[in-house]
Amino acid sequence: MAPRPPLLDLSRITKRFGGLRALADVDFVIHPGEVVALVGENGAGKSTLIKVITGIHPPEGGSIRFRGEAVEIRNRRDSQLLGIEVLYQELSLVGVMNAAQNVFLGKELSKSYLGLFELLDNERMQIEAERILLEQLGMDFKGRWEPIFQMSGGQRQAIALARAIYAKASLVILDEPMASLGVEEVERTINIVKRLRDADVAVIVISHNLEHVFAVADRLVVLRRGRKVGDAPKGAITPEEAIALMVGRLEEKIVTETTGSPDQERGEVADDDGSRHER
Amino acid sequence: MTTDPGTSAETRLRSRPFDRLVWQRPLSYWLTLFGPWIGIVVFGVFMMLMREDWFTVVNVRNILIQASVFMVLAVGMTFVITGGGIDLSVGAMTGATALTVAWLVKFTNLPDILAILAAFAVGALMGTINGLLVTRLKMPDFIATLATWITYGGAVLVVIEGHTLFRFSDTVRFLGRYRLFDQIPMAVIVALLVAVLGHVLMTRSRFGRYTIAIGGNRKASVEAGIPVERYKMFHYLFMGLLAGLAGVIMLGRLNAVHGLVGEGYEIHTIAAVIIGGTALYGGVPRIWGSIGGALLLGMMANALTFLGIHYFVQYVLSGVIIIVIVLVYSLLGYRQRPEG
Repeated sequence: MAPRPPLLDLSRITKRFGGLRALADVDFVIHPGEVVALVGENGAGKSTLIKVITGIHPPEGGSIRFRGEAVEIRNRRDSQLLGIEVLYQELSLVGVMNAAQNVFLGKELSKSYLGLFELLDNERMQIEAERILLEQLGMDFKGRWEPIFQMSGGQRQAIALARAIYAKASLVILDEPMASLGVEEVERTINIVKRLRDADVAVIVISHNLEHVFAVADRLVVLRRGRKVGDAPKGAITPEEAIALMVGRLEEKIVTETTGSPDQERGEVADDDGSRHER
Repeated sequence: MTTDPGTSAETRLRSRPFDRLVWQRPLSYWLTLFGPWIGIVVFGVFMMLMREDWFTVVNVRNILIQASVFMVLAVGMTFVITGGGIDLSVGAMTGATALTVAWLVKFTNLPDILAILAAFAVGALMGTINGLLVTRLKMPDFIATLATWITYGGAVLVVIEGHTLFRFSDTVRFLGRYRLFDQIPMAVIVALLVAVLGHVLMTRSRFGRYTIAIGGNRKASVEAGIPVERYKMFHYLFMGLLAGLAGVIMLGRLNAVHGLVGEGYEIHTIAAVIIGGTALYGGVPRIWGSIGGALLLGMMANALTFLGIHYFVQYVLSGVIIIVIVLVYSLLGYRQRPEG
């Protein structure tokens, strides 16, 4: 086992929607400073798993541990308190506001005047936001007072990430972060993810693009029809295998991290934490 | 994190103070910022050329007093519209609050000062009802306030039964009639104070910041943890309180109320806000623009009277001006509501 507990440890998570089984006995582990790619076809359960983690859809079965302690994540507020931040493909930014206003939205800094009334400290927020954008995300931009709707997708993404960093995120979930970006901006996003990892933030990347996934992730988790069918460090799995897992040509491939070698391929599977499932 | 002077972000920020002056901003930006003031100057010069006796202390003061009621209302409306709403009931609320004061003074032994305070209470109550309809019953802002416009307006007619209440004490008329140093009308001072309050709230308070966020992108505001419904509620409450203030000023100025007082004020208020450059779809406030818009409309009303043109023509002109201004904004590519 790792010297410190995983950041997030989901065990035997089950979620149904009516008669539809969205997740069945899914185990998912992520450590601080680890980048895990979550891949799978549409309807494989990627979004549901994210919604379980963020508390939007609490699970019906299974348990969640956060930094080794059992927790319940019943709503978005709970997950926010754990430092779980999500960046959806459609970024949750206010286009008419400038970068700093977006970074601090909902968490504004204020200053007291004569101890009587409090006003927003716009100048300090501007400086702090720029510091995060410039020093942690390497984003240098003109028009810092401009509304952000004129900015490129990559710049907007950096602003959304600055929000997550300012919120002291422990886990950042990126939903299709590179779907609508140009080549240069994909590069930038990959660098930002690496910076987050270096800052000990755990990152889950959801993507269809295996090329991007392999460029950025430390480990791949493959879902198919609500089951985890693949879990392997980047070096232990090929893109071809990942695709085969996604579409069902390959039954299962779970590689434990401690040994770094294939534990089982097809048939019975054992994780190093002792949980077992049959398939 | 703490501010550590001398860090690169701060140094950079301080070394380029003129970034704020964004000359690269589009013409439409400047137009929405100064549009009404340009209009005021152009129209003022036009009137001075037309009539020599127009630009006098007395007449300018009249214009300012007349416009001050709309300035107060327009500040509230700027918040409502910026937050993605609209309040059609402001005229009825203004009439109802004026009537409240008048009725209490005439038919009860309530001290004048308490009667005035009652106007604010009634304004707050009506604003709260608007807010509840929008946030609790999930009615569209337009429909909810259309309904209350009719309701509040009807209630005024029911109470006053076709009569006119007139002649009030100096206390009641203080805000509408008193002049500081015998020169500066109290109504104008109050309107400017409201404008300054609106400006500070909009730029330096969470109330203002969240108003912009909600109007700019409601979904993102929810995800940022902003209690959207509560702030929508505040917008209508704030509007109701300002309608109370406007009602007191109006009563003091006119020294009378009748059943139809306040009629058409909603149109003028919304027109002032739009002329001022506030985006009708929310997210972009222009408090001082609203003040300018109210002043411009006040000047026009006064000028038409001065030139002997029928008052009703003002409605036509206001409508045409709104169309022209919105057209100019959109021709210049001013995006009223950028997505996201």
